[in-house]
Formats: sequence, structure tokens, C-alpha cells
Amino acid sequence: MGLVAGFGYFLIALGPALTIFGSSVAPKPFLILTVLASALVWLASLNIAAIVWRAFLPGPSWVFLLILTTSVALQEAFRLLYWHLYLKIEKYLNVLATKLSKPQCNYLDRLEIALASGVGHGLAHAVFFGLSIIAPAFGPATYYTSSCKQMPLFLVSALSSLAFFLLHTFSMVIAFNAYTYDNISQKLFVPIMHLGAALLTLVNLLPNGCTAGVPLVFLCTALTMAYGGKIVWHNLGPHSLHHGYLHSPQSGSSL
Amino acid sequence: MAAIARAWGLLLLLLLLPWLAHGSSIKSVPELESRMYASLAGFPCVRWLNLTGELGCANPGHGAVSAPILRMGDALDSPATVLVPAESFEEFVDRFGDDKNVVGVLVENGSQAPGFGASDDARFPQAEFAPYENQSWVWNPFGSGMMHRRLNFPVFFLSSPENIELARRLASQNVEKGSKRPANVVEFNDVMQTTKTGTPTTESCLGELSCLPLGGYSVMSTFPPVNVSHPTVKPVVLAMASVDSATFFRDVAPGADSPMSGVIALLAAVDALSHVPDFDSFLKRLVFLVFTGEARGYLGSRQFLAQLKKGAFADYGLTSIHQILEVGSVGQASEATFFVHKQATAAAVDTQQIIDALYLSASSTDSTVKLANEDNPGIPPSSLMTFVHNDPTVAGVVIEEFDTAFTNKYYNSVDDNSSNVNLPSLVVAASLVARSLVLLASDNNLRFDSPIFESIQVNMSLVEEMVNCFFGTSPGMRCSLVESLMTASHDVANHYVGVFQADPSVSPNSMPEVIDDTTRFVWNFLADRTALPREDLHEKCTLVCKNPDEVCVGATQSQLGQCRVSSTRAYDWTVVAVEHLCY
Repeated sequence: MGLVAGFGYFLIALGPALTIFGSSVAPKPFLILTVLASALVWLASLNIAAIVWRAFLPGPSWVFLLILTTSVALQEAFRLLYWHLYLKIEKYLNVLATKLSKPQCNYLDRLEIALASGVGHGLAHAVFFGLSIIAPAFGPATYYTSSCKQMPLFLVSALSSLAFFLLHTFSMVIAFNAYTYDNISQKLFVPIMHLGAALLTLVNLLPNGCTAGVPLVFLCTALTMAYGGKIVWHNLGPHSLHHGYLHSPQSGSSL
Repeated sequence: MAAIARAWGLLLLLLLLPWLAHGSSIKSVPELESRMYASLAGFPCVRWLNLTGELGCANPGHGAVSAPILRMGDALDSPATVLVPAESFEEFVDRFGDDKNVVGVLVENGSQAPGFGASDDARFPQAEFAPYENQSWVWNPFGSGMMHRRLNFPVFFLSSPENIELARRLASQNVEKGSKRPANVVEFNDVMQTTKTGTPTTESCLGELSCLPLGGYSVMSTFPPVNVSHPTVKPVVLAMASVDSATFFRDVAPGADSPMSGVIALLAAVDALSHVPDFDSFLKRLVFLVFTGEARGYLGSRQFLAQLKKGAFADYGLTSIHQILEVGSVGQASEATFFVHKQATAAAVDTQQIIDALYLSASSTDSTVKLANEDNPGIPPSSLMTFVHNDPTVAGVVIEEFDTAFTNKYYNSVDDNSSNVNLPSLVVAASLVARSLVLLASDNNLRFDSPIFESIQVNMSLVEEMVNCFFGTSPGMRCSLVESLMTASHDVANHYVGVFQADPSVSPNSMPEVIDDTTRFVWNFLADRTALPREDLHEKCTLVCKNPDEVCVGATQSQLGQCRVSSTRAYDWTVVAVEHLCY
């Protein structure tokens, strides 16, 4: 199995990432930079959570709840910070654009940057949570936990990484739209979905829990993707042309 | 409201989940990896080569092989590693040895039934070296001949109960799951092939340097020590024993009764003789020889004779041999009865002198010595065979605990351990040997009721300590007897001859670390006991002494040795032009 299994798990976790990167991000160099910067920011957030919690581990199993909730809260706080950082950058970009007599950032650009930021977030999650666990899968042996006889641990980890990658990617798109139009329900959607998916991974702890846990997380992902798709279609689809959303949203309120 | 209530309900359920979970958690990725793999420590059956081909076990190709583990008796319809109890191993190999589905075998150390098949050697061990026609005489009725077979899969011996338990558990897990994944797989990654393909015999592999030759060091000691520059020439009485065993599993060759009991008896006899005064005045000289490599083609004794004929031992006054007394297996004699084996062609008078000395010694030590049955075709497998080949009239005898066939059920077997020998038998044998040697050395000028004769006492605690040192695991070779003379390289002594990796031109006396522990101990012990009595000031040393008559005895990691006048030497196995013995 060895190499084949290892690469298989890697591609399950990050195949769509590579595709999205290749098709939507790579053609635009600025988006590549965005992915990198976003990944760094989110890795920093995960590291801070990890450093704090390392002191309390190993511990009793109810600690997982605390870890998850506080880490999700920290990440959502980082998302807000990221949004403010983005606004500053957009301002400078627009200044630069004016100087060079180029058009300013419009809403489509904003969403593309949101997508790239989400890809960065998703990559950070996949690298942080998935890749080190998948590493032993490159050897000849595999591993099944006592609570999940149906799938190897590595498959659960790879699927989980995939689900969270897609979740984070499209969450950022929804979030950027939410902050742009100050839409409360959209603003709440992202943290709630994030927390929900995180807590649903606890289902994997139950005996045979992985058969329910993994699909449930994918459910969250599907909902996020659907919602994100609906928003983008609504704002940028053919019927939106006469709404004129392609102009610079500087007049729109922002947090 | 109802939706919110349901949402809260779900949240509460999620909150409860950690408490509902059970099972140990993995704390780190290295811990995960350690749970995926378990190392089953075992002792291998290795690949040996001789003039005509291959023996032993090896992986079929040049890579590792792996297969799910099953127990003997489970259906063998796909490639598998089979876990076989020791007592059924021979039967398993007979039935499934050629089955393509046997990828590897793990042998469980069970309570080996002391019956047929318990010994790994042939029914006439090394019959091709016998100096007589009848090569179908059954000396070893318990022999299965397993170690002379060629198997095309790896075999490992599991001796520790934890490993056996683990292997059994993994096998039964596999059977419970049927052929569904995941299966517990055993990987054998000791390839055991010659390093180049197409070298299946000794000649080809030594020529291509793709294998290592067997060999080791034998020890020779004269008593009393000779003046190396001008040795006086006296008729020589050889007292010899061999120190190596060979079994199916190379690293488990304790060889307690066969042949180490002979070494123990000989060493204890030397210790007793070292207290006899005026040995120098005796008419004959004693030479003690401890051979290695005997179990694999009598390497030590043949090399000794070859070197003797070339005159290598002239410096020690050793140019020809007058009489030989070989101490064979003497660890489990029943009712203190020993048997004297001799070849019919042996010189009558000189041989009879040895036998008479033995009879006399027996009467004074409350033991019995009998001549072996006339119907025996000749001497049993022993180093004496080499000397008889060289000169059929040589006056030599072998003392053994058995008459017409081995009584040792575990000859060359993993079970020939300390429970296979008993102290009384060893002590009596040592006594017999000591007194007979004194009689022979004095050329019968010593009366058996002389005070010197009576004063020969075998040290029983020394014998007991040697048994514990050679065959025990703790302290094993770290026991105080060994530690007082040398520092062993390994805790547990294994008595396989080993491969010869040193430069043959370098004298082992200046590089003691190339000699294996047991042989090195024998060297130090003989050097210590045969040396001239201590004076006050002895030159301290670590390896060599300036005076050619002296050797450095008792150098350990914690103390320097002393230069003592002793003619104890280790001589090595060098390649003899005619035969390459690569096993």
C-alpha cells in the first residue's frame, strides 16, 4: 500500500484544493499572494490556540469541548481582524490603481480575494490537522481506531480535512459578503456553521461514530457551499447586471 | 420555538458527546506509528552454504516478504505467515514445506516434548567424518536432521512468552475477521541471501566475497608452561574438549550437555591439577585443547592437526602426540557411570594405559568406568575422529556418558540448556579426568594411594558457577567468575562457532576482542590456572607482555591484567588451501 495509500489520502484531502488553486487562483498572481498571506494568518491563529491549550493536555475528555469552542471563537475573531486588514489593503490598492489610471477594486475582485483567503484558511487547516496524521500512511501499515472499524484513521482524517477545506473556503466568501452588506443572518451563519462542524467532529469519538460524524461534517460543508453559491449567484449572476453591483462598493457600508 | 428547542437539544447532545466516548486516545503522531507496528523479536534460522549447496532458511528473493499471520491448523489457501509450535515444526515442514502459500514461519518455544525430533542434527551427526565404514549407525536416535534441510522461506524462533502471546493474539484476530481487511501482517526483512546472486556453494560465494566463512579461535595450553625459547621435549598427553554447538536457530545454541559439559569438566580438572606440586618433574607433558568449530565440520581439530604437521607448535615442544583423552558429553551420566570409547585400530599398549588410568581413578572417586560396547562401529562423533583419520593407530579415547547411542535427547537442540546437565555428573567427570591425567603424566609412577593423588579435589562451587555463567541469563557472563578474568561483550553466552571476520594474520592474543566470550574465558582461565605460581610483583598489562613466555591474564574493563608465565595460546582458523568450509 505504502506510497499509493499515502498519496491517495493526500489527494483526498487536498485534491479539490489543488483544482481550485489551479483554476481560480493561479492565473492571478495577487490571489496567490493572498492565499499565502491568509494561510499564514490562519496558521498563526491555530498556533496560538494550540500553544495555550497544550498546557492543559492530556486531560479529561470534556476538555475537547472547551478546546473546540474557544478555538472556533478565536478563529472567528481572527476573521474579523482579517476583514479589517483587508479593507486597509483594498484602500491602498485603490490608491495605487488611481495613480496608475487603472480601475479600482470592484465587488467581483473582492469576492475573488475572499475565495483566495478562504483557500488559504482551508490549506492552513488541512496542513495543521491533516498532513501530519497522514504521514505514517506512507508506510506499509494502516491503522483503525477502536471506535471506527469501518474506515482507517487516515481516511477519516483526509475526509475531514477535505470537508473543512471546502467549508473554510466558502465561509470566507459568505463572510466578506456579510460584512460588505452588513447582513446579520449571513454574519451569524459562518461562525455557527464553523462551530457546528467542529462540534460534530466529536461524534467520531463514539463507537462507530465515524459513520455518522464524517457525513455530518460534509453536510455542514454542503450547506455552506450551497449558501455561498446562492449569494454569489444572486450578486453576480446574469440577473444582477441591472442591479449594478459591479461598481466599486466604496459607497457600501463596511464595518 | 420548536426549532430553537430542537437546536438547543442538538447542542446539548453535542456537549455530552465527550463523556459518551471511550477508548484510549493517541497523544502524538509517533505514538500513532508505534501502534501501527510491533516488533517481534525472534531468533533466525540463517542460510548456510557448503561445498554442495545451501542449508537453512532464507527469503526467496532479495527483498522483504510479508503475509498475514495464521496459526498452524488454520486453512492455508492464501499466502500466510504460519505460527507453529516447536513440537509440530518438523511435521509442518514435511507437509507444507513446499507449499507456495507459506511465506514465513514463526516457531513458538513450547515445552519441547523430549521425544523424537527434539534434536536438530542428523541421526549420525557428521557421519562423513567418521573413520570407519558404517555411516548408518544411529548415534543420535532423537535427531530430526532439520538443520541440514534447505527451506525457501524465513523461519524465526519466538522464545519470550510476551512475543508468543502477541503472535497468537494477532493470528486469532485474523481468523476472526476471515479474509476481510485489515489483517495483521508479519514482515520478514532479514533477507539471508548471499550478497550476489548465483553463488550457491562455498567455493563460488567465497570467491565472489558474497558470504562469510565460519570460524573462530581454539585455545591450547601446556601444563606446566614451557620455556618458549628452548622448550624441553616430552611425550605429550592431549586432554581436549569442544566448545561449540549448532542448532537450527543459529543464536540459540546453548550446547550444555553436548559439548560444554566436557569443557566444564576439563576446566574443573585443570583447576584441581593446578594445586598439584612438582608437575614439572612428571615424565609427560599435558596439553589442554579446547576446540571450536567442531559442530560444523571439525574445523578446530582439523586446523590444529594441520598446523601441528607444519610445525607451528614446535616452540611449545609439541611435535607429536603420545596419548589423547577427549572429554565428551559428561553432564547427565546416570549413576556416575561413564563409558570409554576407543577405535579398534588404536595402539594397544598406550591406549590401555589410558584406560587403566581411568579405571583406577574411578575406583578412587566412587564412580564407574566401562569400556564401550564392542558392537559399536567405533568412536562416537568427536574431535578424536580427526586424529584417527590422521593416524589410525593414535592412542586416544573419548569419555562419554553414553554407551551405544546418545542419551542426550537434546543434542544440538535449542533445549540443551542448564536443566539438561546436573552437578554431580559434572563433578565426578572432572574428578575422573583430573586423576587420570595425573596418572598418565606421571607415567604410572604415582601410586593411587599417594597423598598427591588423594589431594586432587574438584571445586564443586566452581563447577556450579561455570554452569550458571555459561547457560544462565542473569548474571550470565557478567557473573563474578567471568568478571574476575575478563569483561564479556554479551550478557548471555551463545555457543555457535560464529563467522570469521578478523584478519587471520593478526594474532588473537593481541586483539582479544575478536574472540567470542566463552573462548576468551577459557583462554583466561587456562592461562591463569596453568601459569607458574604467583610471585609478589607482576608486571601489569592490558594486552601483551614483553617476555615471550608470558601472557596478559585477567585484563578487564575495571582492572589491568597481570603478565604471567603461561603457555596458553589461541590459534585461529586460517583458510586451508584444499577445502573452503563456508557454512
